[in-house]
Order: sequence, then C-alpha cells, then structure tokens
Amino acid sequence: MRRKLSLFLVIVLCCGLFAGCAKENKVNETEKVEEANTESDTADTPKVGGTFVVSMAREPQTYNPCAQADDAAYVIIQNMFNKLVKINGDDKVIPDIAKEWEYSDDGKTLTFHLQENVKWHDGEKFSSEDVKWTFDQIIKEKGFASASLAGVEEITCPDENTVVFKLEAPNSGLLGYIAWFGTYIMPKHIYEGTDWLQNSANQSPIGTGPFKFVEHKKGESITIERNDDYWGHKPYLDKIVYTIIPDQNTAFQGWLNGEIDESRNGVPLNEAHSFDDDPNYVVKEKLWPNKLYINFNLREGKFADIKVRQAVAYGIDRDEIFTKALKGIGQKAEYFISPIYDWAINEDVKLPERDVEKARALLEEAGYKADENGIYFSTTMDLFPGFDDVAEVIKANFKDIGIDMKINVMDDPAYDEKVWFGHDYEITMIGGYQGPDISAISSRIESNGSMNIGGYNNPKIDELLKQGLVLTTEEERAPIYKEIQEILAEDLPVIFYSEKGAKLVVKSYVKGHPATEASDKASEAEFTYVWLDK
Amino acid sequence: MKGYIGKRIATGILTIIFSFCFTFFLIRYAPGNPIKVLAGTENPNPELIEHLTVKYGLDKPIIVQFTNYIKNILKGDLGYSYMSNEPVIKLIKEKIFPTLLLTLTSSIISVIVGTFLGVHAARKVGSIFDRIMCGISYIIDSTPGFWLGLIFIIIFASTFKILPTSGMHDLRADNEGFARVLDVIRHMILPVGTLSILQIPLYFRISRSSVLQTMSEDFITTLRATGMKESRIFNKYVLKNAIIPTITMFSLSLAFTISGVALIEIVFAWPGMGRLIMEAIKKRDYPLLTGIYLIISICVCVAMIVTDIIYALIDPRIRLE
Repeated sequence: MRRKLSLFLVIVLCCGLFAGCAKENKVNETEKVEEANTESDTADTPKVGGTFVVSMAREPQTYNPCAQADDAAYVIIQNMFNKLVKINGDDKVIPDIAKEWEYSDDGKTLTFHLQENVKWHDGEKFSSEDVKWTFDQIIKEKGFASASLAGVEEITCPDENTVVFKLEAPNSGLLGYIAWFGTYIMPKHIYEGTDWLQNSANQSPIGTGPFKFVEHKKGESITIERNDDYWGHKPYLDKIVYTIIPDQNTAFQGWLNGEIDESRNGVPLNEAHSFDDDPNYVVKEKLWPNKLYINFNLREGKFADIKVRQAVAYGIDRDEIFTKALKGIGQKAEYFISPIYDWAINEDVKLPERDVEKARALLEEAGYKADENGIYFSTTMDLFPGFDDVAEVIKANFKDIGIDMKINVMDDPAYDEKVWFGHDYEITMIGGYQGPDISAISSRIESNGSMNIGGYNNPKIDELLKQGLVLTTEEERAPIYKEIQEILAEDLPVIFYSEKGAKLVVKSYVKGHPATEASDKASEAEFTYVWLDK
Repeated sequence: MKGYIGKRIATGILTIIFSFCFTFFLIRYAPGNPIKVLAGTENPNPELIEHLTVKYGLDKPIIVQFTNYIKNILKGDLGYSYMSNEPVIKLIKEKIFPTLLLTLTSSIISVIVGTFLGVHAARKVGSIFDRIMCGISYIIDSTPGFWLGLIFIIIFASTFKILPTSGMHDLRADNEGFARVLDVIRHMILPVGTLSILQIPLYFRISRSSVLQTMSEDFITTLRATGMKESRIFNKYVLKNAIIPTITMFSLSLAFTISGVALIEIVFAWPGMGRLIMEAIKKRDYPLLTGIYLIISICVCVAMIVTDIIYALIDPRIRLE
C-alpha cells in the first residue's frame, strides 16, 4: 500500500514538475556573425575553454531533429545542427546555414543561398542535396513540420550552394515555420535509404553545428564538445554537459551552490524576484509571442452561449491572475494579439475591465437563475498540470459572478484524449508559442486549425487569415489582423488573460549567453558565444 | 520438500502470467495515446499520427496486439520503446546497476541498523532510549521522503557544501578507476542516507515488538526459572525466534529493489528504474512499461519462492503442512 501510495504521489508530482513546459515549444535563435571575434566591445576578451554544466528537467529520447517533437532534445539539438534560417532571442528570423534568401516577384519561389565549405561532424561535405533530402523526407515521412510545409510544391538544387523552394501560392508564414521547429538539416549520406525513426544516428547524431555529440548516459547526462571545424563562429567552450535533474528544487540548489552553471529547470516562481539586485546574476525579462487563455467548447454546453462567455470576460480579474498566480512574470493581457506584433495591435479592441455586476447581469440574460447561494450554474475546468495557481484565482473569480467551478487536473496523455482530441469538456486553459510570424495564430482560431480545440468556426476569420498569409508588408497586413481582433472581441471564442514571459536569471560569469549578450545572434539555447569569466 | 517447492514454483508462474495479462490490458486501456504524445499537441500532425499508429501496430485490435506481443516475448524480444526507439531490454539493463546500488545498499543498512536498535530498545523496554526511539520512528514514518531528501540537500550540499547535490558522478571531473568509485560513493551518501532513515523505523519496530513478544512466551519464563543467565537466554533463544518477521520484511523489500524508488530518484536525480517507470507512464510507452512490469513481477516471484524455501529450511513445520 505504501508503495502504491508513493507511486501515486510520484505521478502527481511528476505531472506538476513537467507541466510548465509541457505545451510550450519555445523557439528563439541567432545569427551567425562571422566576425564576432573582433566585435567584442567590452574590455574583457573571451576566454577559450571550460566545461559548461546545464541542468534540464526532462531527458531527450531521440536526436532525430525532424521526425518528432522532443522539447528536451531540442535544446541540445540546436547546438549540434543548423537550420536554413533560425529565430533569435528577439523572435526575428535570421540566417543560419543559409546566408541569404529571396522571394521571386510573384512570391511563389523562395531561394536560399547556403554557406560554403560546410562539413558534417563525420567529415563528409555538406551540400544543397542534404537540404533537399531533409525537406523531401519531412514531407514524405510526415515529420513534425510536414503540415506547415504543405504548400511546398517542389524543392530543387540548381547548384551545391543553392536551394529553391517552389510554392503553390505566396505564403508569408512559411519562412517562420522553416526557422521554427523540426526543420534542422539532416545528413543525407547517413539517413538515405534507412528508416529514419530507427537509424542509429538518432542516438549518436551527426550535424553541422558548433558542437559535436559525445555521449548520452541514460538518466544522467549528455555531453557535447566543441566542433573545431565549425563553418561559423567557433565556440569558446570545450564541452557542454547537460545533466538531467527532474526536480526543480534540487536543480535550483545545485545551481545556487555552483555545481550547475545554467539551469534550464528555471528558477522557482517564488524565488524569481530574489536575484534582481544581486551583482552575481544578470536578470533578463523575456516575453514570448505566447498568450495564455481560457478556451471554451463552442460546440455545445454552457459556454457555447456568447452571453456566458461575455460574463466570463467581465468576470475574471486579469490583474489578480497576473500578480498572484503568475507572480508578475510576463504581462497582463490587454489586447487580442501578442504585444510583440505591436504593428498589428488594434488599440480600439481591448479586453474588458472586470465588472462583477455586469457579468451577473449577462448570466441572467442568458436565462440562468441564481440559487439561494447566488450560484447560477456549476461547471468543471479540465486542465493539464501547470495552471494550478491560475485556476485557483479563476475559480474564486467565478464564484463572485455566480459560477461554481471545479478544477480537474489530468496528466498530459489523459488530458489530450479527453479534451484535445476528444472535445469532451466545457472549459479549459491553454497557451503556447504563437509565432514567429503573426499568421501563426491561425492554428488556434481558423476553423480547421490544429489547436482550435473549441471548434471555433467563423468563415470571415478564415478568409482574413488567408489574406494575411499572402501579403508581405506590415502596412498591408495590419488592417487585416486589426479586423480579426474586432471579430475575436465580438465572438470571444477564447479569453486571453496573460502574455507568457519569464525572468531568465544568468550567472554573471557566464558571458555571451543567448538570453543576454548574444540574444541577437544565438538561438534560445545555443551556446556558441558562451564563455566563462572565472 | 520437493512437492513443497514445486507447488511454490507453479504458483509463482501463475502469478507472473496473471499479473502480466492484467498490466498489459490495464495500461493499454488507460486514457491517453502514446502516438499523440509522440506527435506533440503544440502542432499535432494528423498524417504523422496515422503513420506512427500503423507503424506500431496500434490500429489493430488489442487482442491481436496481445498475441503479437506474446509471440515476441517467447522469442525473448521485449520490443522497442516508443520514446527512443531503442530495445526495451537495453533500457532496462542500463538502470539495473544504479537502481540496485541505491536500493540494495539502503535495504542492507536499514535492516542492520533497524534490527540492532529494535533489539536494544526491546531489552531496555520503557527506558528513555526506548521511548525516544519509538517517538522518532513515528516522526520519520510521517515524514515525506522527497521533503527529507531536499532538506538534506539544503543542509549538506548547499549550507555546508560537503556533499554533492544530486546525480551519480561529478560532471566536471573525468574520474577514472578508484577515484570514480569514491566519487560514486560520495554521490550515494545523501540518497542512501535518506532511504535508510526512512526504512530503519520499519525494522526497528518489527524487531522490537517481536523480541518483546518472544520474551513474554512461556518457554522463556521456564528458562528463567531454571536460573539460566539473562544474556544467554537472550542470545541463544530469544533472538533466534524473534528474527523470522525481520527476514520476511527484508526479503519483501529485496523483491522490490529492482523497481527502484521513484521519489528519491527524482529528488536526487539518480538514474534509477523508478524514474524510468514514471517517464514511461507519462509517455504511455506501452512496450517499455509492459517489459518493466514483466521483469518486476518475475523478480518478486523469484524472491517470494526463495523466501518460502528459506522458511521451510528454518522451520520444518511449514514444509510438513
């Protein structure tokens, strides 16, 4: 019984531990500035050498960078592989192994010019054929990014340093997807003719990136070392050791007492503000194009009624959620689109301020009668772990407006089956990366969007999203996305409450960190420019 | 005796078959789908999901999956993990040494220390030592292991900096040979210490109460009446009779050493079986979970049979039944 009980406790705990990142495929990246060595403007010159110890909560399962989504492997993969283009710390698309690219005038051809003299870690020469093979393979074998590449008609290699993507129609979101996730260039000479899910290179990967794979000790650590033949900026670190520490508190202690240089487990929320004035740490506030929101089942049930959704919009206290549950990290949501796309924000369409009386009046209008406790109806919010504190605040807010809400937290697979794919719910909460291009919101609000779990269907929105995709300049696109915001405010298919952010705390002896000094040229977890000042 | 052992082995095999079938269907009928976990929910790709479902044979009826699995294990093939596409048997093998290092060491320490303290307390029943030890044992019983582990980390690793926080090796030093062994021992101290402290009260109470019970038996009174020395009665007659419950307890805990201790492994980032199980559950990695359960149930049954045989050797009444 003891054992059963502790197993159960572990399940619950694990869910809590891993929850935060469960549905967040974060991405940021950086540009290869070849002359970076000469541009160090500070007095201290970078020191070469040293071992960099990084803690992470979850263990990578496979290093195939394109077949499946593995967030744990992803942070390591970005140090071993290159994409054509990548996303930097400011969520901008910058060059990676493609030094430049251009669209044809009709927007239907996208040409990439590749870096020259690139070698794979095993010494083989890299060429445009590898790029073509990778993307063909992703499309053919239904890799993670294949849905985003659906509009690609054909990929050709006019010469060994040029790759051409022919598109069915102009698509301004495509470059962002190529820069985002599951699009690392893989070695054709190793994978061709094999089952890419079972190739042994998935456990000892060969890339073109700044670091080379050394070993993976299961349950313990992963080691990668400097690639001395790297085509781009040579890394300073001798090696990086990723240590797997499932418990955030343990990782935090190890990080505090110097065993760990960089914690990818993150600083516990309660401690997030304790490094602000400490000279031993550099604190960087980061905001992602990632809105957190309440999602309703619009197909049936109580929240299919717009009046009830309006009541929720007036009923929740976004200030309280932001300050109490999220400890003031990120931003309170004010608009229907991420503030990162400031050019597209519609200032006239704001989320309503809290008004309990109005919310109750709306529920009355919707035909509900309050019982003797002032409660109109009961509902259950289905959640995957990670929203616990926010859910508690919303539960209290709901009580004020007369909705009795129960919270049902499930582990990820159970949640996915019930809510994500089964649509058997009334109300839930989700979030997740909504970038790098503004068009990425379509997956959440378009009628056939992969993350439109509430079943929102407005032909006008679909139409506008299509228009937004083919236009290229911000001036042309802004009016379209402004109109989309107006419709969202009217329909309220979801209710945004916060902008996801983080306080990234970096030890001050860690220089050239992708969150601080190298944020313009390195991707989120890329340590090419990191050196240790100690 | 032969019949006795044969009967035990037959029961053991039946138990393994039953528990195997039970867990096979239980985990497959649990909500959640491993392929959807693999594909991710952020941008799930329906084509990828369909492709993988067919590839792993999950589109077939569960009974077909079952017979296929049986065919494979009869060939000694436990299949491939969905998570990493590596052979299940390899993933399990990798964990056995670190798991046993942790659980076996702490089981042995706890049985020795716990029994010693229990016997000592029973001899001086009612003394201050006895009362303090009983109190402490109840406090420890109600202490969550992961909390205790974290407190030890804060005391010994963060405050006094005399022991490493977690893991099994020093990641900055490439130790070889004896230095490597010493390094592992240093990393073992906190997790093994935590586990032992959590288990000692069990052995303490069992040995204490069983010694007390034996001491109140009639034959001890008789021995006392003969004028035999108290220490001789104790060492020769009480201990021998009082040790059986401790053996039961110890062999039970040995049977489960292979399954690891998930909570402690998580707190100390120890690469053990418990964490592998948790990860497999979280990802609904059916082949890995089924493989682990099968191996655990075999280990438990083997340990039970061995225990029963030891009983029969110690106590002839059992085998004559």
